[in-house]
Amino acid sequence: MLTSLAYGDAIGNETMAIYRMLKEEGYDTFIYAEAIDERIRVLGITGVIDENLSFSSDDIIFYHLSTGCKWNLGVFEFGAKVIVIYHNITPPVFMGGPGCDPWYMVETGIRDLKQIAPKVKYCIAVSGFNRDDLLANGFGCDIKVIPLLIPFEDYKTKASEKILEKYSQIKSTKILFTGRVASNKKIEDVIATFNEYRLKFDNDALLFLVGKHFNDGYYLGLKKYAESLNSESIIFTGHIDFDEILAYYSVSDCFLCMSEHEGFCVPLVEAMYFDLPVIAYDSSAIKDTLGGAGFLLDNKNPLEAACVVNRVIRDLPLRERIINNQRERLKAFRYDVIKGQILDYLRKVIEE
Amino acid sequence: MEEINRDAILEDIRREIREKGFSEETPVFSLKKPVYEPMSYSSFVMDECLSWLDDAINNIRRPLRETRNPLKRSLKKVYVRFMVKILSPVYRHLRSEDIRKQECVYFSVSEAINMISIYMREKDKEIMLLKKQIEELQKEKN
Repeated sequence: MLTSLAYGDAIGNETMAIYRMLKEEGYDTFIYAEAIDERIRVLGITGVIDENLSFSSDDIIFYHLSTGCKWNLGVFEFGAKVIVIYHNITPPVFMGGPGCDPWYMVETGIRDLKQIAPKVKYCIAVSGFNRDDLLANGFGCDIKVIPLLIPFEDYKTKASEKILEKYSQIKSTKILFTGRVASNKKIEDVIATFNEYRLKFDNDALLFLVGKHFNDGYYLGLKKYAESLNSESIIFTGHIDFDEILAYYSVSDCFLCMSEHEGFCVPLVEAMYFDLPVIAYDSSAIKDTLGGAGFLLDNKNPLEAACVVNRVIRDLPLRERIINNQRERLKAFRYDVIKGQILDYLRKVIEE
Repeated sequence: MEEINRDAILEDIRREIREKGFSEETPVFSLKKPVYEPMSYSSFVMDECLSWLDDAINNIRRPLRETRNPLKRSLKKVYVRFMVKILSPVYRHLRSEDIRKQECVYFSVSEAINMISIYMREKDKEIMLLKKQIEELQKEKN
């Protein structure tokens, strides 16, 4: 159960992955959401949450909490056991100010956290950072940290030939960031770092910014910023198909993340899967997800970050060490490992 | 995991910056417009948005009512159902009591309109194909 079942975002993907996993294990399961993307609705495995839903005390609801929603409190009225899966709530500072809808949503969500704290008996946090956030908001139950369930088989899908042909022969450096164009992702810092890199080390370098955007103030501001630099080398792909995303991972030379708030950050794991050395600013759950792999930046100085990018790309022994560490780290996210952790937790809840 | 002495690498990079005389050349990002504009949920804005959606749905349904050609009607029925499927979830949300009372927000009005335009763009090819088929049928009739 969740607020909004979007197509292709981290929470939507985890919801679908858990659904499929439970089905394979023989559980009777369904997905309920307030808003459901049409591409998922047509699969016939979802329904809209409303007050008329009825559950028994033998039922278990995995409730994905990531924003303000009346069901943050309402889910406890259904009479089922509730396992809260906490993905983190974007801090209001990134969501405009009072009077803006997104600000209101996250403020409500944070208020809800404090209110439900005494009611929650079962809780999964997808990162240690998220667990600490729950503790700070008064959660007293035992919180199990289980990373997102990522079906890596999907990444073996054939990558887009069109993108591969367009970029794989280009010798210049290609830097990648994947993620929704949202202000907490600090894409302006990725652009600034890239620009320093392009001016100092590789005039023909390209920056791929892969992710959905809306025509809001932030995206328009970023477009203007890119135009004031060399906008032809900065490519906003917008929302693209999965095979195209895979192709961008395949053709790129490194992954650069300057986000200031993440509850897990699936793109870091994706980059590691594709053997892209990850360079990321140390904030929120980034360090948890990297788990000692990648290369963490402790400040946002774009010149220094650009030099790190250059070092990681050109210093082949360093690059190889980073990639080897990332391959080691990836083992912690193996599908069978995370599946086992979720099922063990579920069995514990069933038995209680 | 193999150890990577990050501090040593950063120290070396800082030395490299000093020795090569590198300086920052990138202007600082400055957001002239706010990330999100405060929205006012006056009932006028809500009613306007709802009537826009009503018009969109009626415009789709009107040709269906006006034609007697059975093949055209069935083709347009598919088109209508298709368009209604796209618009209905957004329509339902804008109609919801909570949105009207501004107590809890799932879509902002502007986000709802953005969602519609994104859905429309994503379904564009299929919509164009259906439109072409309707135009061809019209030509046949004429």
